[in-house]
Amino acid sequence: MIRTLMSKKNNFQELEAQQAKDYADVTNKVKKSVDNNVSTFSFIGNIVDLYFTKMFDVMFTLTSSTDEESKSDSNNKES
Amino acid sequence: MVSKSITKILTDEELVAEYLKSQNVAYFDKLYERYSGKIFAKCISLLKYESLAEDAMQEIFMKILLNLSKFSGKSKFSTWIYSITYNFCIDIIRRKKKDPSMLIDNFADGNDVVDDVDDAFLLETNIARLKVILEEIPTGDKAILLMKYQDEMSIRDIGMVLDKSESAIKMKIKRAKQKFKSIYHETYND
Repeated sequence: MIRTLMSKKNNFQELEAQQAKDYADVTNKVKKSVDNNVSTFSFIGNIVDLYFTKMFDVMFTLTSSTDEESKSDSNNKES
Repeated sequence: MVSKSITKILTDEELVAEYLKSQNVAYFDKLYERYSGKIFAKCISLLKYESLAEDAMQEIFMKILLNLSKFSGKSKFSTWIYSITYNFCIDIIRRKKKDPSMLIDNFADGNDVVDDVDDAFLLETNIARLKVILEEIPTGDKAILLMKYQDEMSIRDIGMVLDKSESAIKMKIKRAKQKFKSIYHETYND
């Protein structure tokens, strides 16, 4: 069925091609907006990658050292 | 930097895979180049207003970009993005409630006999007339005709997009073709 349609004249597709051509400036404009959004997303992604991972590392180090300190404190008290 | 000649020979599905692997925008740019015109043509046909179609297209492409990892490859990439496009436009029209015919369930689902209209009648309608008829025809009928004749989607794929059975889709296509023919004769008297 699809092959039969493809071999025939298809003015639906002609119309689509004509519309795409007529509105080429609009699609270029939209591309710029999409690109801006993509840059914003990747910027946010980079910030998250750079700072949040480091922040979690610092928090993890701090909490683990606090745990160790409290353990050694309690050991000292017991002794 | 990915050369243009490389992106040119890759299939849509390969471009998606490469983009997901490398996050290199050159792959997505190629997909945009291939589909932006077609998607805008659908948006303008369904939504009628240029500004509305422009906003819709921007949101559709962001949706495509953010959901690329969910594309499983079970269907063709074109079917997947057309499905996003049609559903997005249908949602806009439903929300605006400007066009009750967009409620696709409003079509009578009965099995009453509808004369089948020859495909050639639709496919060979002069472009200027085709444009006029598509502006006149209810949006639900228009969407289904665009899927069948413009995108050459299979009955199964149309059923997946509209979440309907294949037999329901066949009946809807028959009715949409009939509607097309009657608008054609009302408008042009020949």
